[in-house]
Amino acid sequence: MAQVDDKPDQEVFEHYGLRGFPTTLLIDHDGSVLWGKENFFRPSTASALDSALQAVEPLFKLRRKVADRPDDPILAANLILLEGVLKPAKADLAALEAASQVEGVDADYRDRFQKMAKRLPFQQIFESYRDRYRATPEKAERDRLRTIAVTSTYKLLCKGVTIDDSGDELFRAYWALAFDGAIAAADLVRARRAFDTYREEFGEADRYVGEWRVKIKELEAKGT
Amino acid sequence: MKQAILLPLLLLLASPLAAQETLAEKYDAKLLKPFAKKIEWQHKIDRARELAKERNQPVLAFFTRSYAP
Repeated sequence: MAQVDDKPDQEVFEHYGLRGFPTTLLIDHDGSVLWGKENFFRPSTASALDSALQAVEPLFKLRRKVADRPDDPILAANLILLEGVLKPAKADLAALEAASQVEGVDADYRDRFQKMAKRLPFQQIFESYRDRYRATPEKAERDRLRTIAVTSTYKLLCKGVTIDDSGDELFRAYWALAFDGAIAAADLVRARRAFDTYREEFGEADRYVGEWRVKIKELEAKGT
Repeated sequence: MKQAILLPLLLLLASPLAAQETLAEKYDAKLLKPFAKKIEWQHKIDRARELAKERNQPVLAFFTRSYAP
């Protein structure tokens, strides 16, 4: 991007991995994106902007309450949980786990934390892969990054850490990487599981399904 | 109402093909558009973040280009 002297920070667009114009983000004071990163967000209607604000406003109200009543352990725990679910990249899982155990903590925040904790291992793998992939144009390096992501996701699958909610934005990426990992490991059972899970959600017409069926058959032919 | 709870940040990105003078003109023209004139925008992310912390508000960051809405 070219710079206009004394004009806005034009590198910020790239920093946040944005791709389209116009794009809007809600950002916290520490630079964390609170709303709008995937893929981009355009509050072209009042209701769209209201939805975004409703998602983030409780954080600011809660911070004010904690500032007013710093000795209240429930408020403090609620704030830790809400900060964690809104900013998972900076989440301290141990602190969040401790906060979720505080008696009287907000049940909705606790539920959201528990869901976040379940998907966080893959989220960290995927976001690291995606951000580093975008930062390098070299094919060999991109292939290396993908291999790391595939292997790491396959390890999660082996440990039973999966993304099961098809409405989750990470669902497709999880099962695609897990499938490749299972194929690379010649693990027919898990490759079939990934294939079936993916096909059930996205159908026969999906661009990967035919290709993956061939890979499954090749693995079967090898007698694994 | 929204203006009171958001700290607006306008970031206008420039085309690498255009001359600096033209870019500055486009930038100034963008700020004169009705939607931009209604809000007192910040133009530096660091300053916006400082103010967001002081005021306990989120930053509404709007990324656009001269040809975009």
